[in-house]
Amino acid sequence: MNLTHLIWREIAHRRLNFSLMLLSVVLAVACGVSAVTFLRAQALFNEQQVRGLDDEIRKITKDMGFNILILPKDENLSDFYADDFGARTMPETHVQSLAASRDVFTIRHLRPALIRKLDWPEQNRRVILMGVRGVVPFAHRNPKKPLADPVPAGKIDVGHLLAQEVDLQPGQPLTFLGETLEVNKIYPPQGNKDDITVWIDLDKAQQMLDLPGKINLIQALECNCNAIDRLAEIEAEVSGVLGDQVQVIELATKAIARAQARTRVSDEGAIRLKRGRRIAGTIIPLTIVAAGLMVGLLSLANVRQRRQEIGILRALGMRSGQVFRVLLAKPAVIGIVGSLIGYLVGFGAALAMESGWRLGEIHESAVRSLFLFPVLGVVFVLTPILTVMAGWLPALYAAGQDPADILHQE
Amino acid sequence: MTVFGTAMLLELENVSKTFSRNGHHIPALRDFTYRIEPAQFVAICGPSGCGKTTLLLICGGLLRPETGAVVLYGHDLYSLSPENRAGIRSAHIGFVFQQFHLVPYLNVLDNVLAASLGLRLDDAAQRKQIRQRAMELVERFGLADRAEHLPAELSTGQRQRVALARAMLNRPKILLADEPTGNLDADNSNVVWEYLREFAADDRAVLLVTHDSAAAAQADQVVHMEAPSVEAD
Repeated sequence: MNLTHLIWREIAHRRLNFSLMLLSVVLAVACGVSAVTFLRAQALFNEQQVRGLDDEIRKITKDMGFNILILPKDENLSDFYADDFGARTMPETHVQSLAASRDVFTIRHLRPALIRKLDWPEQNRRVILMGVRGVVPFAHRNPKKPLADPVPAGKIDVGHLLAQEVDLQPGQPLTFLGETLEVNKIYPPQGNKDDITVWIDLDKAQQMLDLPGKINLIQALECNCNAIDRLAEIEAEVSGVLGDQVQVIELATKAIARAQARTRVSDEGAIRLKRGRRIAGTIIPLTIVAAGLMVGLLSLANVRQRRQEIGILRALGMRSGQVFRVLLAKPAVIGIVGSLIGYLVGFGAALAMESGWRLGEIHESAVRSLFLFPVLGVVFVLTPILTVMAGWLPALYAAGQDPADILHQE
Repeated sequence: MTVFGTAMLLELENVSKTFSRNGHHIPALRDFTYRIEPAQFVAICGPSGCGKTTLLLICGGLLRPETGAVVLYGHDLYSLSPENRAGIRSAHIGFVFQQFHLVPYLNVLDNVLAASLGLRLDDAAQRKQIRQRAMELVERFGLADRAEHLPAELSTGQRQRVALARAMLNRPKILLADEPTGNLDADNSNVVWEYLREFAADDRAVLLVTHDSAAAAQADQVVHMEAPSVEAD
């Protein structure tokens, strides 16, 4: 016979009292755990959605190419849109300046270009000539896979429609503005001006057009940043390096729409999570306080019910410290058992809610991704501390009672 | 610590106790002096409210008197800390009550063993020994076939025998009994008297408080109490 035996026998004897205390703790823990787990599930769902949109953006931008154009400041945009190219030029060194800057973060993949719409006298047709160089890497960033390959010297890339009309094949020689070039690549149909464009090495284009060291366009790809006015941010960064000699335009693209959708999904998810956290932040403390009160009141009822027993045990020589320990052991046991059962119930409820109560569709991977050992640890440590705190005053009251008073009254 | 005489088992010297209720002072004991030697069976007899139970609780180290001293087996009870007094109670005093006061969720054997909860039984041999003694007492009090039963499953006579066995588990020097046969029939009462006499004869002592003169007549010596004055035979 020892105190542990006494504790277990009492718990087994007063099952209703024990069950009610346990139930209140299980409900409080389950409420907290299910809220935390459900919020985590929501956060993971949001992340997954955002990741999906990120992938989509990546795929679209990969197919689409550059969506930021940097033009000379004095370029007339009306003419640019009407003619598909700019008449004004700027030094090619602008590209190197941007690539060397440590203050440019919002754009990637810089590519200088010299564009003209001109006659191809050998074929008696009008084409767009685009002199390009390979992508210029940023000096202070990790190199990325180039978005576009350079056109090797002596070669020419041809748009789909043009190649079809002139009947060109890769490897075939052709004459362009008096220069003999070999067809390097024929692009698939794009459904835009690219279909009547030819691409050659920038040096060769500058030489043909008698514009050495000049370009009229820098192409770039904007990063997927969360800024509300991204274009203004890009402009600010570029003008920080090149002063007011250039202007920046953004091509409205599917990628931008996707990027905006991604930002919206991310923002809405964050708002939903914030709201959920606020609700949980109110409900969880309330349930903890309610459970604590319940445990405290039931402990008080329990010690009042055990008044005679406490009196006789004290008369038999049990010390008040022993009585205190016996009375506190019950809330401690309830805290330990309640935390484990409550965690399982709460976790299960959150999984069920997350699956729309289709229990058969809960996957092991979902269980693994939502299970958080630190949450279990905190629940397992904190719950017994709280239940012991709730039972502290009733136990103190009982241990401090005068056994003579009890026996006198009994 | 005051020690009156080493031959005495329990000594009460000028013990007084007054209760205060609603601004009124009700004397329960006034300058009560008495000594109990080993092997004595003493009955304190008096009407309800004369302070019998108060005296018993004072003797048991449970109720501090306003004046006077209580010395048990050489220990001045009320000069000790409550914790040490609990230790003395556990080792040297046995209690038997009219209402038995058994722990309702412990079976007969565990109820008897409950008296050992206040002892410091450090090793397994001591724990085994005390369990062995509990089983012997259960057998001796005719409760062997009821050892696993709860108090609610016992007759009143059996419950009082469990309470007696519990009081005797730690081989106390003195047994304090408050109307121990108050709820028992004649046959069961006789069994209890027999055990109490047997206990006192073993160089120990029994202090019985009762309002029943027939019950008091079972003792070797009877002290009559009339609140708050005391008269001895």
